[in-house]
Amino acid sequence: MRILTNLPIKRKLTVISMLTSGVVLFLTCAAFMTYEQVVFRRDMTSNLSTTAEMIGFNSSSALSFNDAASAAQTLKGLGAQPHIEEACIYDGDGKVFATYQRTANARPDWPRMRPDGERLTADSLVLFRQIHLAGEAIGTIYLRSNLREMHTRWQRYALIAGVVLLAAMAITWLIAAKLQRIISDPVMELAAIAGRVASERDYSVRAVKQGDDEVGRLFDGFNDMLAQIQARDAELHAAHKDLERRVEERTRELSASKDRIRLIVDTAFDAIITTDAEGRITAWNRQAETTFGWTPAEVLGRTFAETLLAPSGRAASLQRMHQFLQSDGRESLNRRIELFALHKDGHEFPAELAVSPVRVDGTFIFSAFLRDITESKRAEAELRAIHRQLLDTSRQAGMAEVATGVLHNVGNVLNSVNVSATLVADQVRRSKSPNVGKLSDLLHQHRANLGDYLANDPKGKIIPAYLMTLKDELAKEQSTILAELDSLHKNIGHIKDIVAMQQSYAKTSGVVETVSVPDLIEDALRMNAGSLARHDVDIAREYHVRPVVTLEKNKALQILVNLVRNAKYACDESGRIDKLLTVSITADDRNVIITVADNGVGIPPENLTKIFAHGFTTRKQGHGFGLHSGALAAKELGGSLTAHSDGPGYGATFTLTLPYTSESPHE
Amino acid sequence: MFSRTHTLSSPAGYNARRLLLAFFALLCLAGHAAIGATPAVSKEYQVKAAFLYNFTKFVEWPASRFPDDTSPIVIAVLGRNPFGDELAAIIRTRKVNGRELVVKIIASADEAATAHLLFVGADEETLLVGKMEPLQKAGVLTVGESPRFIASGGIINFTLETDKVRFQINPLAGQQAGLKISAQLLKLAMIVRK
Repeated sequence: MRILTNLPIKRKLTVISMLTSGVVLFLTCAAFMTYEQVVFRRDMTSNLSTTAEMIGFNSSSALSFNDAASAAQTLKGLGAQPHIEEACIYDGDGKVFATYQRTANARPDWPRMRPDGERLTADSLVLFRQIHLAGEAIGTIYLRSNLREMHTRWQRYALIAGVVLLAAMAITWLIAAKLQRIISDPVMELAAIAGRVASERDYSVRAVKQGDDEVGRLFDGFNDMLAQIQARDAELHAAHKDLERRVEERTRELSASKDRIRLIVDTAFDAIITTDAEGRITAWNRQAETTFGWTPAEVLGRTFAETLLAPSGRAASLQRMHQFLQSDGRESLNRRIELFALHKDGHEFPAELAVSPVRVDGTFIFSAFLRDITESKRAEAELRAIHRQLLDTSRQAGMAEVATGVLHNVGNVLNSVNVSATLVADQVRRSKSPNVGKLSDLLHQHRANLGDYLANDPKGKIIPAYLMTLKDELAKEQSTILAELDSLHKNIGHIKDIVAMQQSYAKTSGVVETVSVPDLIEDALRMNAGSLARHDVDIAREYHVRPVVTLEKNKALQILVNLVRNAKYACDESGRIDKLLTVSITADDRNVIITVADNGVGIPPENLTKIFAHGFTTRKQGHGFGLHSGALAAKELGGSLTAHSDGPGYGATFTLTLPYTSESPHE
Repeated sequence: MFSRTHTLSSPAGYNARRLLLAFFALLCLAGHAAIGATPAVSKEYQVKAAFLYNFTKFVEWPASRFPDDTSPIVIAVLGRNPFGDELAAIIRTRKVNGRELVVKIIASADEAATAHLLFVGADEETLLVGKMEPLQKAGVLTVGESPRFIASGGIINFTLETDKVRFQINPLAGQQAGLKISAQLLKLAMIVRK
């Protein structure tokens, strides 16, 4: 088959035709011969069988009456059938009874008797038949026929078949040689045209078809294909030209845009530096030259980190670049960082650097945007200094305010001290102690007759009683003075406390700390304890929660002290007896709410907003310090301070709201 | 071709046939050698008994001699029986063309009219005087063993030829008795005309 594949179509067609007809003829002959053979063998067997039966019949009496000569005589009749080589009759015992041989053999070798049947050997057909007489088997006949006739026939048939086969092949060859042109000619023509198209690239040629069969359709298809190729070729040509034109256009645009970009890069305020993946500088704009002092000629090809970064930041920068390349670009690089850059002359300057990686042909190039931030750093430092100064100033101002508050408290306590001192002075001035002197003079005068004097003199008689009275008076005096002195001592201690507290707050100003709100309120009440007690103001505490807040303690305290003091004044001015100050703590999700309520004079509605203005006071002795600063402080703490009153005579409630800070848990 | 035959002949049938052949062979041998169950009977009469049986195969009686298709063939022996049990033994298990065989020993020729084959020993021929004609008319195959038997009107007569049993046939007599004697039989016989 492989050999056939590469043969020219002409030869192929001939070979196929001859092969086909040859095989058909061969098979036909073979079938015919086989059939003939089978039929001939059957006929031969049938003939032999008939002969055997005839002999059997004719020799039945001879067998019956044991007349071998008669049987031999009967067998001799086989001479008429030249194909029978030998015959033999066996008696009923299987013994040879009579024999026949075509050509006498010196030592005839008779086969053993066998049951009915025939057997074909290479050169003979052997047959056994029983001889029956009146329904009884009386002997067996054996016949052997040669196959000469069969072989002769075989040879004849083979000869005929061979001749027919040869003749048929010759005729087939002649016909095929003529007819194969019907197919091979057009195919060869097509092949020739295809060859021409391939070698000359001439798509304009067309094949001329000769029929409407498959080959004709192949021609049509081929021509169509050629037409399409021709059209496509033309299109391709046109497209190619168009493409060339467009490429030219784009190149022009590109070079224009490149010029523009160069201009932008050159006039940029940032130093723009491009490096390859190894960090070698490949591009250098004008600003880079200005910033670093290197000309492009000097710097191109040098390593970015080693040339442009201060030694302190180099390792970190290289490490980051390495990490980025290791991650193959997945890690972020284009963050803006600040570092120290290195000028050509060796001085270091702060700079801001942003690096953008760009993937090009499987590797990276880096564009570094670097800006000298020396100026802005300096401006920043200045700003920080000014800010610090401002902060100090404001803190001093705050401290002044606190000091005013403290002095205010101290003033209040000093009033009490003054009163106590006056009372003691009056008491001493009005003391009965001079009477002791008079009495002792009197007793001195009458020391000679003291007993008589005391017993009989009318004046002397009342002396003991008077002494009793005096003792009582003096004891009363002493206790009054002691009480006042005690109060004085207490008030002075209070002043000491206030001053110490102020000092502690002043020290910790601006410090945020975590404090318990009830403790804070107790501190505020303690600072006002003297005056509250003096004015008989009762204090009610309603601490629903005991939260902890994180804040600037002194600011909160300052607010609370003011609120307590204001409440006391309000109660005082109302002139009522049941003066009551109520402090409560509640809380919601975000805030702690502290209310300071009094049952004092109240606030007229028109004043409710004014009271928070700087310098406003409803008191003659007020000094403008109080609610304004309180509200400011509350705001600074992230909270608020509000007032509420139902009008004059109905008291007022101040509410301070303070936030927890994130870390302070709700208690 | 042998195989086909093999499939056709069942082992049982084959064995039966072999048995039969062996038996028949024994009978044939009886003619040659003095072997047998009855040593009292001479080899000659053993052969003759076998021949009597074989004659029935080559002779065709007119249909009128048989009441029906299965009626037996009757072999009659006139006077003294020279075969002993030999003849009875031969025919006991055999059939000829579907008919059984019967042996009758008769004393008078008159009784032979119903028989199909009548054997008359050489010593008993006197019993046949004047009886030949009626027997011929009755269609009886008469078999004798004396030189005069054919002449007296018999159909088949045994002879001895160098100790070998042969037979003479008078075809004309057979024909007159209405019998068809097979050419196969005639082929082996000495044809005698009266």
